[in-house]
Amino acid sequence: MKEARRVEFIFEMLRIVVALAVAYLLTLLFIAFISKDPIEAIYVFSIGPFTTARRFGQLMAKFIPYMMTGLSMCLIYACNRFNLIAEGSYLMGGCLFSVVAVNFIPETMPPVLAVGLGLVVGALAGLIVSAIPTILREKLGVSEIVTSVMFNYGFLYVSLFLIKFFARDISMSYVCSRLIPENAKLGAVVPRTLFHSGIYIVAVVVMLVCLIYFKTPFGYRVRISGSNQDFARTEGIRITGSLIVAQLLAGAISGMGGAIDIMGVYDRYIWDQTPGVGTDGLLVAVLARKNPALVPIAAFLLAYMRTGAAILNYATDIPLEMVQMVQGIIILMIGAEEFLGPIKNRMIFRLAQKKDRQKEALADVNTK
Amino acid sequence: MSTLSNILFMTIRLSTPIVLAALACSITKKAGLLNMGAEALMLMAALIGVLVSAWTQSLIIGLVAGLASSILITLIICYVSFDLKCDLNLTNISMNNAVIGGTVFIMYLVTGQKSVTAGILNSKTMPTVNIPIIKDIPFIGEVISGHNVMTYIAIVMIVAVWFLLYKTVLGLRIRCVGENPMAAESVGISSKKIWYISYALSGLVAGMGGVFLSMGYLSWFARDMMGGRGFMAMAAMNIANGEPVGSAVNALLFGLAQAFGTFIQRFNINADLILAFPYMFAVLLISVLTFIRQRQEKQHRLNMIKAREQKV
Repeated sequence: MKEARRVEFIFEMLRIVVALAVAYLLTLLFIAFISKDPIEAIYVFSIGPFTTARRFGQLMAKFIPYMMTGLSMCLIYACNRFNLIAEGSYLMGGCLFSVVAVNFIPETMPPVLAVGLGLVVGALAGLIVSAIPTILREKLGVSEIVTSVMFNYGFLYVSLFLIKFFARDISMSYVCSRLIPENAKLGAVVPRTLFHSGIYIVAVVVMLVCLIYFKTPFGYRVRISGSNQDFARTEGIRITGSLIVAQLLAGAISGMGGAIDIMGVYDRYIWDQTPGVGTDGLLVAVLARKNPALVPIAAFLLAYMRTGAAILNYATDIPLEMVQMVQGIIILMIGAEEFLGPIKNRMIFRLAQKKDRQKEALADVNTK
Repeated sequence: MSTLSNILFMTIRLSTPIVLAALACSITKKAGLLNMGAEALMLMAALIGVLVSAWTQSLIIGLVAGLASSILITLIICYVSFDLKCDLNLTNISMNNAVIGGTVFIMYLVTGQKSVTAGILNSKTMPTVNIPIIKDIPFIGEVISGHNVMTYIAIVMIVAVWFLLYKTVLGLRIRCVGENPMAAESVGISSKKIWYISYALSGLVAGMGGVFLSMGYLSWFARDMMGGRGFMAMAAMNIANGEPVGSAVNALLFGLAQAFGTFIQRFNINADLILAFPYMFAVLLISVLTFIRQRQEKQHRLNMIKAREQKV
């Protein structure tokens, strides 16, 4: 059976590679098809993000929140739940951090303390937001998909209300908060780019989540409960508790991600639409096959594609939305378990046949 | 027109797409599937309807093309989920993403614009109808008459979907598969086939909602013009546990909330919390009803056991 499992693993990887390759080729094909200057456009899309420090900074600024929401969705997805609350958590994390930073963080507070406070506020906001759909799901059996989607819409308005009432900068014509104090901001890693020091915080979070997920009894309980609830129950694992804690943790990570993004990239809170980073987290989680250790790679790929598309959008005549479409196709192909399935089954079958023949041959030799 | 009749008129107008999408969700729900993709179905139908009707200068061809496109999307969803074995929710979520991006992309290719088709495409719209006698009745006439054709079709669709689900063979099969696909298979009903059919029907009904938005409510297509109506419909359906009539009534409540929000905004009041209210209230309602339903189910099961024991 070991060989069959190896074949399955290879095919799983192959599916991801094929999906990405098809998506990439599709994108290039679209570009070549629409653009008046396809070679330039393809160059801009594929190499563009690495050509200048500023563009690379943009890529990293996208990479950091994608990792946070990716980890968050990874945990939720590992619970086998479709709790889309990462979006709402992310939004409220950013929003509440801004409200607190604008109102309560004095200029004199040391930056370490201010940033630490910001992270805690973001995480708490995310945790509280995710608590409601999670507990409703695990305790009452209310569909978490419906409640979390409703909450994502509801919290958008709540965040606008909070900003308008507690942090609005009246001198600006659009809805935004007052300037976030300098001491609550994350400094740039590369000067004059968006690449900010949130990367260190995220790196620590990734390691912690991997540690929890793979090396603690709690992580084991979550993995088992997620993959087979009945088995977990018969084994005497308290499923409800494990799943609730995992999803709360996911909310906290996502909320912290929102706070980090505001701290690092923006001067003031300006989200008047859901930023969509939480939903993109689902793509990262699917790409990473529920494995938090692979989240950075998946997040980087997504950030790369998004940045390439953004550069294309202002440098050439190709709309940014194309990538959103291709992104959907990627999830479809990776999620589809039977994509390439017939070939996989044939290979496993052949392997089994070969083994049988070897056994027969061996048996023949023995009888002789 | 008085304020009240104005709000009620707006409610009916704003509810039409939500009612249609909720009916669409209810068809798949009865087959045991959660239709998260209503948003994508409506959006696709809205765009294709506008494009084709502008191109052919024919309302009917535009409508048919719009509905066909949303059915096509459902077939893709079904193929990926039931044949390629991708998780249905994942398929729907990524389809929403793909269609939101895809519609903007197609719109850009055709018109060179990324926000609206207004002023560029001369697309057709569905006519409004004044009901002969009713329109002269003072209050009722102002509320009920003068809506778009699709609004009246939506009312017919409520009955039609109910009839389909509860009075036809297909409906019985759909509900059978929804209750227990294995049991249905054992008596020779192919559950995959029923899932395909129910999803396609759902695409048809949701498509009507999309077409209404871009060819009745407005006369153009705007990017992401559904604005979460598909998800509202999903919640409305969930509150009613998939019953078509109940779903439609809940959708009407969502429409009322929307109308009220739009109305309040005219007075320059901060409407954010009022706009957030329907979503939060929906969650509360779903939770309470789920709790009650589970209690009832438990009670029902206990009663069954008791009855069996008495027999013995």
